[in-house]
Amino acid sequence: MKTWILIFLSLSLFSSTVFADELSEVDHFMKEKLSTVMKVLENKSLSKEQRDAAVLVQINAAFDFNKMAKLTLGRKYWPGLSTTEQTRFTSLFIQRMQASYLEKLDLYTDEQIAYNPPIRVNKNVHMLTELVSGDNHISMRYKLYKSKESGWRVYDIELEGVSIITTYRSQFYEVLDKGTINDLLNKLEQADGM
Amino acid sequence: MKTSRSYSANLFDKVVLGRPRLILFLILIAVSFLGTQAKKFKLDASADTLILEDDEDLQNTRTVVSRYGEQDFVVVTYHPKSDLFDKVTLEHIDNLQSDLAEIRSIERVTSLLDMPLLESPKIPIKQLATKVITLRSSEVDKKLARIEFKNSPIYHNLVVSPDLSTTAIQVVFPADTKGNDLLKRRIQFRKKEREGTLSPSEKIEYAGVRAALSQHNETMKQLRHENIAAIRAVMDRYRSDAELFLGGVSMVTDDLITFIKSDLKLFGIGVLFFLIITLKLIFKNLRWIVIPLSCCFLATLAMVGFLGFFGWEVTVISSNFISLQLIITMAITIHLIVRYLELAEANPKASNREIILETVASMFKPCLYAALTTIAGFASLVLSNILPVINFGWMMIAGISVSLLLTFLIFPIALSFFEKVEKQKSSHKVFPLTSILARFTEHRGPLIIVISIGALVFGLTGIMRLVVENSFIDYFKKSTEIYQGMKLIDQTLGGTTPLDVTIDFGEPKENKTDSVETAGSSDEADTFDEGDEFGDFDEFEEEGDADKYWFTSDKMARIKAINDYLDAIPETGKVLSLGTMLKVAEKLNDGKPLDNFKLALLYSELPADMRTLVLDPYVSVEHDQARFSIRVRDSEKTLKRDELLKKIRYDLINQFGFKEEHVHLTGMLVLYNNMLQSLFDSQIKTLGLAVAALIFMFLILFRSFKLSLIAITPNLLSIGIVLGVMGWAGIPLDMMTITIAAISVGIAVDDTIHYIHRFKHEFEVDRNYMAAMHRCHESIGQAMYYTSVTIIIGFSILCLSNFIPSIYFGLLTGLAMFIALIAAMTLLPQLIILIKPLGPEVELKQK
Repeated sequence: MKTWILIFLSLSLFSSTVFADELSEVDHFMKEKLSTVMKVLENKSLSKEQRDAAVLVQINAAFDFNKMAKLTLGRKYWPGLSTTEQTRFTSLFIQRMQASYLEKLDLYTDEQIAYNPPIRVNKNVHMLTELVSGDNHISMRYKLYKSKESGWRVYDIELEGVSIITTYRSQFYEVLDKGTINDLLNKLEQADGM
Repeated sequence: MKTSRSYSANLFDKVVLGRPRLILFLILIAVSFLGTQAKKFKLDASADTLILEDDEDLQNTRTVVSRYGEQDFVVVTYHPKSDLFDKVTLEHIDNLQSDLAEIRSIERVTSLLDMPLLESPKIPIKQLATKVITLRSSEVDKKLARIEFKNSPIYHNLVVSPDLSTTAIQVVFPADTKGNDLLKRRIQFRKKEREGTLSPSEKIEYAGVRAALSQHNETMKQLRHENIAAIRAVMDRYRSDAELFLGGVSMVTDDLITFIKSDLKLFGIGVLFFLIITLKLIFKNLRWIVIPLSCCFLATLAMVGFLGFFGWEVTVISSNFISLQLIITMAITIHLIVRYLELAEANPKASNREIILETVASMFKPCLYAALTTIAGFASLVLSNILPVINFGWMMIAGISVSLLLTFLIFPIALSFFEKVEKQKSSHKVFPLTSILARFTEHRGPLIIVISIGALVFGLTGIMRLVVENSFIDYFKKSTEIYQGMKLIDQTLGGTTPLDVTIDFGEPKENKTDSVETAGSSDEADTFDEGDEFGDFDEFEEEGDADKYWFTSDKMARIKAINDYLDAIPETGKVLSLGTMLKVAEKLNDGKPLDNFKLALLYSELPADMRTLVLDPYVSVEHDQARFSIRVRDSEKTLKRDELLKKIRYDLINQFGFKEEHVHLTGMLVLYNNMLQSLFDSQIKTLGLAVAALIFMFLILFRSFKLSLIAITPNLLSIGIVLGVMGWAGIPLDMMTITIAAISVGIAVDDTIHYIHRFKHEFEVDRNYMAAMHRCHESIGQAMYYTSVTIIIGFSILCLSNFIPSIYFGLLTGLAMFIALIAAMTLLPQLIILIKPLGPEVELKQK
């Protein structure tokens, strides 16, 4: 009996240690990426192109855009697409996401990032941060999952509780519920503010 | 027949003329009792009386009202002598607002001073929760505020006029929860009643609910009347600084009742005065004034008592009812007078009582026939599906019966108290119209036919031009305050008549959720190997339905497009929707449209009280629905309500690609239009039925097909010309004027029956059509002539009313009366002479 208790305890300790390691891994990973981005933003000597290129390197490493593309269509629509459609959609979606992200950088003035300890949500980890400018605090939640190939990657961002993936999903579903995947692809190509 | 008549005549002689005082006493007791019920007599001009109870759009309107929280309100327009944004002006507005807010039973008063300003100076949306700048705020920049008011998609043309010279102050009444509850219960009971599933206990409860609702509506009407009087009293105190008007559905309803009531009082007296003068001029004897007016007074009082007793409310549609009863009673009385005088002259030796008895005996049959036929005509209204029209039908049936009964009792009794008239001066010698018409008919027969055909063509072409259109504003003369106020609101403050367009963006939510679950969770996830890939990310499945994600840019673009489409229609005034609110938000977003993410963010960040102000009235996320609140410019001359509604519906389906069942048009404009369309339809149908009923009655009365067809002709001519004149004169068919058709039938039938009935008698004398015609013109023709003159002159005073429908009623009744008289005394005899329906005549010489 005693042996069993010992085994159980050591297993629990082991698992919590594993979790603690993973949380600090995510904490470290995100802080590094975000602080690099902040440094790029604060460097006023860079041109817009140079800045965008430098930021893209960081976010490409941090974000799993392929995953995000799949999640926006969800199990309702993604599995139904042909491989060609999936590839075309993913590519258009990534372009859209990156463009949207870079566009937001123009709004940057003097904001600083305040970090809160990451938390585990099921198998994933959420990194909670706040964008602080004067009295203004904007909460940002980076949601990460552990990819088999490349480790921790961001699959969604929540700004003040609003999820980017769900926002896109609601819009894409609206098109797909009434039309076809080609309608959606055409809309994405037209870049009409989706 | 003769024995039975003489038996009933004897009975009448014994019972009525034998004990005139006792019978009169009994009548007075009965009428007095009914008189006490007259206190319960109600006039209802509320919006509810103008709409169809079974109308599906009514249910939809009630749903929209409760879903988006609409409340009853009136608007005070304020046009200051100095600049609107002057410190002193704003102080005056503030004082006016406080004074209005102090009135009992007013929930809130809002003015331009309370409007949140987002750009005076510019503030971020998130700060709206803690810091709302208004014209009252110390930090407000008035110069910017002026620009904001002028350019704001919300305030422009609603709170302020485009030229910033006038502002609107909204006075909101509390929601009538008690009334709404009672109404809901009544609807439920009524549904059960129609289905025949009402249990005995429910029947009692239903009666209780009806009584309670009626009582409640009465109280509310009184309260609203007091409110409006109090608002006007407050407005009067500010008239030295500015020009003020009052507008709004509640006010229109209240003013409508006030106008009808004041017309009933003022013109009731006027009509009475004119009747006295005309009776005096025609009959030159006091008794011929006292007796007819007593009959009219008692018959009307008794009928008003009946209305009170049965709880029948007089609505805008049946407001002409009292006048009609007056006409019918007066017609019967004049026929009796003329017959009495005729008999008195022909039988100088007979006693007063004998002559009275003979008058009653000889006139009862034609008067009864005329009454029965008119009843048949009005009974057709009972077949309509509009409650006020049905009630109007019943009222007329009861009214005509009361008039016939009372006149045939009061007239002989009253006359028995007087001495016999020895010799009555004939007034027609002054203007012998009947003799002229008799000679005209004799010598110009073919011309009469030609003129009649011409008149019929004129009538028919006029009927083709008839339109079912009218606006509340057209009910009032341009000089009235109500007209000017509504015109101002229409032209510069966004329009008067509310119209709601609601659009469903998808199927009802329950179905939608179901379909997502079926597609995603079970079948597909099992079928595809990749299903697992989504297993760790179920959060998106759960939160996808959250309200904030409803606001997609695609949806917003469609809402904005619909908003712009509705706004671009010339007849619409202010259009408020989520589209309007988005325009404001875009202004704050440097003029760029908001993307999905910003929309969701905006929704999340919007403070709760702002959400109730800018979102709740226009969006129901729960029902996947957006609402466009439109105010239509009632006074716009190009406005064709039915066409406008059809066009909006068509365009939303075909241009914007919505399914037919997803587009809903509701509100006052729709209900009012439905009412008018259905009134028009039912009038056309009931008019057809009325004509059929008349032919049937004529067949029974005259037992001759030929004679029945001849009899119907002047009636058709009368309806045709009256409606034709309306068509040519551009008088639209509305719920007031539409009853004119029924009235003209009633009047024309009277003349036709009396004339033909007498003609048959006179023809028996010498079997000569021409001679019979001359005798008829000089006898019954006189009665018809006097009746017409009395009524035409009596009602002509209505032309002085400020209420346009009263003017139309006065003029068109006169016209109907005139046409009926002329047709009955030219076309009718001409057709009889031509067709000879009573058999071959005997040449006078041979005789």
